[in-house]
Amino acid sequence: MKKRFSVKNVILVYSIITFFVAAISFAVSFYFSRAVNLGSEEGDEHYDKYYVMITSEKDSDFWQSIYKGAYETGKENGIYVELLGDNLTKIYSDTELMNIAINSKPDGIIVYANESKDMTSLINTAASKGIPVVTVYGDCANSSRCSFVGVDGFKLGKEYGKRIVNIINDGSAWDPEDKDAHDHLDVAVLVDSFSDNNNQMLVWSGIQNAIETDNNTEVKINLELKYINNSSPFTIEESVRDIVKNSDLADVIICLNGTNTNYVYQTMIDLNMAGRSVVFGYDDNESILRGILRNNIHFTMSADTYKMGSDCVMALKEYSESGYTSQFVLADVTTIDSSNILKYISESGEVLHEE
Amino acid sequence: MKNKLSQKMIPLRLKLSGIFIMASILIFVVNVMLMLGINNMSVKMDRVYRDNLALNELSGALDDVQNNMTEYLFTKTTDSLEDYYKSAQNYKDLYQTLNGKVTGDKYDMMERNIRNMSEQYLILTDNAIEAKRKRNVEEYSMEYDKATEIRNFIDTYINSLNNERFKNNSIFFSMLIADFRVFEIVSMIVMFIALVGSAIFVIAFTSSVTKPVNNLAVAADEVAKGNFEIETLPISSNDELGVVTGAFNKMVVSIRQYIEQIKNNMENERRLKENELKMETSLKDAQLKYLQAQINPHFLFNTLNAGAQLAMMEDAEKTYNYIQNTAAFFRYNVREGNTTVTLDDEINLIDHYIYILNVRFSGDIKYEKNIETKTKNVPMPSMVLQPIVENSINHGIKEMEGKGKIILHVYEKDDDVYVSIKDNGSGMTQEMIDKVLSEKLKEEEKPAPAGAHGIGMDNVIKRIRLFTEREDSINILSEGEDMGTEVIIRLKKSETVNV
Repeated sequence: MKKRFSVKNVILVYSIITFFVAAISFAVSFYFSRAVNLGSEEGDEHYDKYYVMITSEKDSDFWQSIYKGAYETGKENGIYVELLGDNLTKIYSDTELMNIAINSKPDGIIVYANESKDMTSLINTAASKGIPVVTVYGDCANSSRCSFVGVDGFKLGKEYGKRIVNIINDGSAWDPEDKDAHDHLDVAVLVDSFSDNNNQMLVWSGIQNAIETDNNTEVKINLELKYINNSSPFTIEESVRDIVKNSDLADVIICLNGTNTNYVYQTMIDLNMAGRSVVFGYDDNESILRGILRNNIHFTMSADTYKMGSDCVMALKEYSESGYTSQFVLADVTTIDSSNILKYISESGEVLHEE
Repeated sequence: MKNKLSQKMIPLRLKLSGIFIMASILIFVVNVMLMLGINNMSVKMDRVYRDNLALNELSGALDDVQNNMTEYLFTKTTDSLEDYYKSAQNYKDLYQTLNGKVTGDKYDMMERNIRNMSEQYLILTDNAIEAKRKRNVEEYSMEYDKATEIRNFIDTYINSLNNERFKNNSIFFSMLIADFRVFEIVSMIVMFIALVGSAIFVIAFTSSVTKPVNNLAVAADEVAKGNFEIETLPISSNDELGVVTGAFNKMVVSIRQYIEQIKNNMENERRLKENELKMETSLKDAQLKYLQAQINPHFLFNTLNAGAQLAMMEDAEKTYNYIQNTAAFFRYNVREGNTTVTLDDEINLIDHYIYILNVRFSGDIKYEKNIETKTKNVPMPSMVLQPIVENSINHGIKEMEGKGKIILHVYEKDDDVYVSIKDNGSGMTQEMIDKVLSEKLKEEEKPAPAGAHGIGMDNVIKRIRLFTEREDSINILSEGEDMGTEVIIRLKKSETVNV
């Protein structure tokens, strides 16, 4: 009893209390310092370079995939790649975005270009200010861009042409119920009406070339260009619907981008016209793959978009380090049809959600 | 005790201030912690919308630059030019606070773009102003258009960033508010623990100070009531209280010892005084009896001396010796003051006495003296041996008609001196001896012959016992009727003879 209140014990009690308070304080400060960090989690990283990517179709899967490739490759190399205009309240056109990019002085620009004068001049301005520009998917050949990363449109066209001849040969080009003698085949190629991009013209040439050289049948192939009004995102769907609803529907419809493929496929299903025409698509988004699985889309072609994005970054990096890089970097194109779709899905890791 | 002393003493003042300081420190620590927490929170709260405020300010400054430039291009006044430069500088100061590095944060990157575009914008506005001063209409309208375009981009960027930040900050703010609620509760708990903790601490510490005081107070109260038989208090603290408690313990023990000593001293003194009184009384008694018996010893003594002179002159030597012995005998009794004499003196007195008696009873008493030790250094009370010898003669050998014998034997044994007076007279029964030794002999039992006037045995026994302070200093031995009696006195030698 006497011992209980000795100075030593009192100091012990004091130490315990102080320890308690200190422990609680520490816990509290730890808890709240964690809350502070929530505000700026990514800000700690540091990058050496800053590239911007410009496209007017930034929300599409195709472009998102390219951006993903660019972003991840950039990150590995200490480069931050931004999809310009993504956070802005206003929607800017690609030339406006180019303007913004030039004035923001990034270390490099990746742009979905076209052959227009404005674009050429902007690319030249950027190059004159020491900002290297890589065009992707759409080229601007007359500008001082350092490299083009994309698909070979002519080669693409030849593949479409070959497939047309193939379906004539195996008889699947026409509706099976249509027993009439077939001496001609109508082929409609859907192209964007507002485009300074000559890529679709290259495809068109490729198709023509393939048909001329490969068509060894009696069947006459009537190629026709159908223009899609793409002046605004809403007009595309209307244009496609007009074409599909037309009683004089072509036997084969060739779509040159993912958006058009989707609209054609969806419209045919909506109008209960699936199977009336053979659809050749482009791109490998989920909806298109599902169309192939259901035999509503004959086949589609898909570029390795992730690698395209990655190639853009590597080309810019190479250019800024050594002063030169390849003028063309062509991406691999994969053909997907009912024979290889399951393999493709399992390899690419795509997941098809049930509708 | 040694252990206690070896501990460093902690003054009470230090202890009490220690309690206060330590309790204060505890509360202080808690307060500092909570204040830091609150401060941290308020800084964060502040930061939430600081970004938005800064962006709004930036946007305002941008408008100023644009307006001032436009005004100058329209009016070309010095005032508007000055305003333009001011606003341009202000805008520059503002945008330079923005992030310029490449980070992984999209907002940081937007800041970076605003900063770079603003730089470009100011170059263009400067160009426009310069062209206006040169009156180059074509150039300044072109520069103006370019500047305005960039200005619109910047504006969109600022608005977008503001918007995004606001959205983000709102989420952050609501999180912060939730955190603040938690912080409030935690603060309360911590405060409560600190309060309870310091209360326990203060109670514990003050107990360690007040408990010894209480114990001391209780003990002091007991002592004040006269109870010195209290337990010694434990010394639990090494401060002034410990010192006071120790001193109190010592004091109580000392007081107890002093009281004991005083009691003993008083007892001794009382016994001494009693002894002295008894001695005095007995001596007075003896002397009184002698004075009664020998009416005027001085006169008698002088008379006897004159007789001795006379006998000398007549050549009557025997008569002279007789008178001389008688005179010496009386002189011994007349002597004043000295109640303590030596054994030697007493033996001389017996010699005189026996001589006188032998003359009286014509040599009937045989007297043998056997002295084996020095007798000059043995103190003893006066008038002891003579009454014993007288007693032997009166009760022992008076009736034996010449056959009576008295043997005086002085010897040493065990460092004590023994004086034995032995007769061959009528002897005593054991019952009688016991009665005599226990001093209970009644007056009528004393077998004194009629007209006896000597000092009684009881007086002798009493005095010898008082003098030696021991009961066995006198002993009487007799083997029965007609077998004689021996009286043995045991005395102590003295280093110095003070007689």
